Amino acid sequence: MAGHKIKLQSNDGDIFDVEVEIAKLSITIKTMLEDLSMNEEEIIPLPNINSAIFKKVIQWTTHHKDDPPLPPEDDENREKNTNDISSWDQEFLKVDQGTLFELILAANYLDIKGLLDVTCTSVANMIKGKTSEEIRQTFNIKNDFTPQEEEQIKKENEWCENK
Amino acid sequence: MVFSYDYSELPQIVLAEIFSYLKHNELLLATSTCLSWRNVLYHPKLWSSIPYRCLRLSLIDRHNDIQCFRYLTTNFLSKTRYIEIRFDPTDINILKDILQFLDILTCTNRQIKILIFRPTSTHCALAENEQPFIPLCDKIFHLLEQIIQSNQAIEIISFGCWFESLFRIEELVHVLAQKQSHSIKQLHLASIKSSETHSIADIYLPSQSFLPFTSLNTLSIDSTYLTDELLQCFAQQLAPLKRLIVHVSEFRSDTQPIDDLVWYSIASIMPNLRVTVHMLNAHETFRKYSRVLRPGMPLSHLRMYFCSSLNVDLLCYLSVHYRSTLECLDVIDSVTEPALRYHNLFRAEPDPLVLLAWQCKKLTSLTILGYEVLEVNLLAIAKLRPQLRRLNVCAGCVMTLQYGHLQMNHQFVEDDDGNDAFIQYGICTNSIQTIIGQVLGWPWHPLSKHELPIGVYEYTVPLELSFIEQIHNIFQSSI
Repeated sequence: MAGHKIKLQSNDGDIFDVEVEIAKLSITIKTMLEDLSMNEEEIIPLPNINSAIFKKVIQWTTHHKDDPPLPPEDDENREKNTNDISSWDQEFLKVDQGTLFELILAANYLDIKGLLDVTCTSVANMIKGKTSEEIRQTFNIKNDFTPQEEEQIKKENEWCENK
Repeated sequence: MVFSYDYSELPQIVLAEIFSYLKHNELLLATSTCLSWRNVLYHPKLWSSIPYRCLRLSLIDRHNDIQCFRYLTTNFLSKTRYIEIRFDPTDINILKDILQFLDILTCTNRQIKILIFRPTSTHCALAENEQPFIPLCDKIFHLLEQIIQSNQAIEIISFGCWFESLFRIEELVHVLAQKQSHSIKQLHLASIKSSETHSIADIYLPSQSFLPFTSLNTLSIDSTYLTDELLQCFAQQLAPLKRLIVHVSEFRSDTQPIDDLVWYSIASIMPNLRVTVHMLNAHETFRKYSRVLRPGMPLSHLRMYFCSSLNVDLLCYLSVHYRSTLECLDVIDSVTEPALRYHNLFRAEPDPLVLLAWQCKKLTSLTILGYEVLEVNLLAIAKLRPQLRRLNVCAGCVMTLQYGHLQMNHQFVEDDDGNDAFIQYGICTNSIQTIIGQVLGWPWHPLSKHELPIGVYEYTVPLELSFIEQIHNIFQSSI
């Protein structure tokens, strides 16, 4: 049924016509279509995603629609590797921290494993080589530890360090 | 469009996914930024991601280690898939802690994939206070059997040459064969026996016990158990064994050497099998070594710890029979005064170590500690095998040999036709070091005292301290 389209609505009201096969890369949408047997004419609301981000998501899923399925989570060969981002994805992920943040939330909400993997890898790459303070600055994180907690964490980290 | 963002608000499951890409030290820094990120350290998903994060426990100096041990076990024991525990098996209080730890493990975690024991000594206790250890160790191994029974799919178990495991080898293998026969990939059952314990361990282990293990790719075992039947057992497996590590600490006259035909057929059925032999404190004649080192064996690594037995015969034998398989030869002996010799320097025939380097085309690692080695021969070895990743010798054992003649005024004059030979120990000229480094492609130098295993110079420490750690690392290197 190539070319068959459904309507998806972002939280700021815009309606997107998306090919079913592409939309189904999102397990959330796939489940809605299959399990809830939603009428294909119906507009599916996506209350957690705004138009700008949804455009990015469609851009990503369109490019990746023919990718082979990912191996299962506990597959031996699915080694964690932060270097294997394709050059297309690297270009795609050249966005500000706010957009990346929204993309991760969208990938998580829509349950698009490949997009979540690649955005998480990207964040992990940004964490690598930084001190805790640099990490806070990069990701706009507030240090909410009390001095006592701070002390405790210092001790725990010493314990966790590989001897 | 610009979005406000605060990454501390990401869902914990997503953070766990992100953090699963981080190395251990990076993880600790990331989880020290805020409360929300801290909590992810305890998220089960973080601990179930592949490759598994190792929970490294240590109980060596109990007074110092116990607080840390309790924190780690309380917080991570139920989540981890991969446990490594270093401990002093001669301290009864530590054994009690381990008993308790295994008890908690039995109740809270059935997802263990990798379980590594690293005892700091192969001994359990001194004779006078041995009594309380026996029931304690019985309980420990009883719990271990329970753990093996109740876990879903254990892949790797190492007892790290823990002497106590040797007494239970039959039960342990039996339970493993019953419950984990399809998941077990690596099994380390080999031991390190000392002169006092040689005769003790003589537990019968039928070769058939290994038949059920369909996924086993790495096995370490004492040479006592290495029989024709055991090898034939592996030949029948679907997923063939890739690495067999054999520990030799005694040469018993009643054990039958493996039939050469069996080795040849094994090597053709399992072309990827590589055999590692560790000779531990086994002072023996070459004839006895050849009972284990059979010509058809695909020997890739030979390590001899404190055997004082390296000689021309052995080196020539290795060069002839393992020329297409030998990758690593490590010989570690104490430095004596004068150092040991593996051949007579003044004989005209070529140095057998150089011959070995020439013959064994796959050689990538050579360590000769405690033996005299001529500087020029090191250079020859490097030139013959520029692919060497390791070439270790003691600085004190490197020597230069010059021919010449001694003049009336006791001055030595170098002269190829001279009748006198002049030997200098502990000298490896900078220029030779540089050339060897250039040939090998990495900065090379002979090892000084502080770079050597402790037993090479310290005669009072138990010898096993020099190699137990290294053997543990070898066991773990394939994980």
